[in-house]
Amino acid sequence: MPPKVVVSTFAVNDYSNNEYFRQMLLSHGRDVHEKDLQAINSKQVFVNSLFASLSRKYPSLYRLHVYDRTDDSAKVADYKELLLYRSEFVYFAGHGSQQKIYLYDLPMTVSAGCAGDGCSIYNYGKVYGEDTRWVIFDACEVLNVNKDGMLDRELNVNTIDYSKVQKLISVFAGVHAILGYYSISFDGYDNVYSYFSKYFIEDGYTLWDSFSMANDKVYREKRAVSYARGIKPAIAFLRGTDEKGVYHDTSAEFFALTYNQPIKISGNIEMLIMYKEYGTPIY
Amino acid sequence: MKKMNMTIVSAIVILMSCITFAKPVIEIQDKAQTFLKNRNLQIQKNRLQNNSGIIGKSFVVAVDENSNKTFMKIKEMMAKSFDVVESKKNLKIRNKNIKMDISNLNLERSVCAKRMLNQILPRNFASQFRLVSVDVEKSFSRSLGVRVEGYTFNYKRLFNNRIVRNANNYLNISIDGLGRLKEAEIAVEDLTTTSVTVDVDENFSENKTTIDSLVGADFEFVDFVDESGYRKRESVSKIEVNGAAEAYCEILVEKKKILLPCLSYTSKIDVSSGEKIDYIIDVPHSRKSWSQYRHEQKNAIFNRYIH
Repeated sequence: MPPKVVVSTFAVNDYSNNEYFRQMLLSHGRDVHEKDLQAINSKQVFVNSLFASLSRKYPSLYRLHVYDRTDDSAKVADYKELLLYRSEFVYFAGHGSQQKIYLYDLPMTVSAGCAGDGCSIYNYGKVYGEDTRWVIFDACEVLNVNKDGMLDRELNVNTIDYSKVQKLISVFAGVHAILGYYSISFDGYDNVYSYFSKYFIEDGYTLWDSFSMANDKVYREKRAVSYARGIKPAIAFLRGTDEKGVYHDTSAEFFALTYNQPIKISGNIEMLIMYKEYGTPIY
Repeated sequence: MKKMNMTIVSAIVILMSCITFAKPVIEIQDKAQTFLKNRNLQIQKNRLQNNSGIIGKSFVVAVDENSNKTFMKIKEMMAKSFDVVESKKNLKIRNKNIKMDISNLNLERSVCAKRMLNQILPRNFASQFRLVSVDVEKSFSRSLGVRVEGYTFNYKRLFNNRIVRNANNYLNISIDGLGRLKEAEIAVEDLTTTSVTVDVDENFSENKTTIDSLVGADFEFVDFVDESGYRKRESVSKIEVNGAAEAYCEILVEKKKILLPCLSYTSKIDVSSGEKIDYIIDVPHSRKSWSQYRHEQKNAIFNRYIH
């Protein structure tokens, strides 16, 4: 198990100051005030559930919620500059799109992006590694790598956009896995993270099984919300043997047996994207 | 003059209802039609044989929430060959040595699903479950391309040979891409057939009218996600009913759960923008059984979207 569990969270409910996001919505005939997000609430449930599970299962394990940034304290500059690499879990809740998360003021790419004077503010990115094992993007479509206009199609050689896969690969600088969605997410259905914490920390399920089962559970509970039937929980993870000859499949990592070092894309390790698609009922 | 005023009022009312809700077109496809026609013939035959009056009836089922006899029986049987973990409402079953044959999965899904069921459950319990859907886990990597990493077979419990459409009677079997059992999860409730009945439609046009009544009451809009990933709410223009099954739908009457006989339809819904969405529509056995629970001011809640 990790020697400590430090958590950094970012959650945005209010997008009225994110002009980029607003313009994007307007181009689809919508506005930011159409529906308030429940991101801050979801974040709190994530933290409370995780810490409750840790205190039940591993009472002596050091735990700390080091950064708790919401709305106007969750700007791109904050996300870029804070020392997130000292946290085992990094969690973001808010709006998302393919390889993008939307902070309070600006979008941020889920890729290495760029830095320095010549870098467009819309192309700021971040890599994840060092102590950070698990990143959770509780936001729509961040892990979707389909070509534009094909976001709801099944993953195959004709629908995949390799440049988007490359963006995701570029953020793996030691991080073990990234959880998120290939589709829209369950905005405000906090039970995902209370189930996830229980399965992953207390019940001894693997990372992906914990996340996938937590989504199944909410999917079954919340099916009366008809859009929920398009939900596809997803994971970007590493599989293969590193240069030291150690085999990794970070989707199948157990909390109690997690590899206590950063895992980098080396040897024959490669990044995979996996999602779960709920089947169409047939009589 | 009075008559003319009445005509104008009626015209306005008709016009208003046209403006507020243009009813979707309902098309029942061959498979569902055949199911309904065969079913109706059987009901008529049974009624004549039993000399049971002009109108067909079907029995309401009660859920005994204070008892867990069926649950305990399954637990006892499963514990003989599996690691069983019990939680509040379900059992989780594991056995690393079990491997399912999924070689013909794409061609004969139901055959494969049945074989899997028999591998997990004793035959007398296996016959109480029916496959409804299969979830798929897919992965992509540069070296291996797209691969299936696992499946979850979702079964619903059958009671009196009807699918129990609530959240507490199911079996889900999860396997990896090679067919090895990861976990099965099972939930069952104690169900009892009561002497209370509801009226049953027994001709095809009535079946269709009953669907029409429900659609008229509940299907003005649907929420869905478009291909760009945006959540949308649009009006329904057409409902294509593809499959049908006898079922029980859970409703609450005076805070008690009962299972009302219903017909469950798998369908494709066309929304106004032209997109198609898969849907399950649960419909009471007749318009009369509908009105009994909807219009006598009982607290009736139909779970229309349960998979």
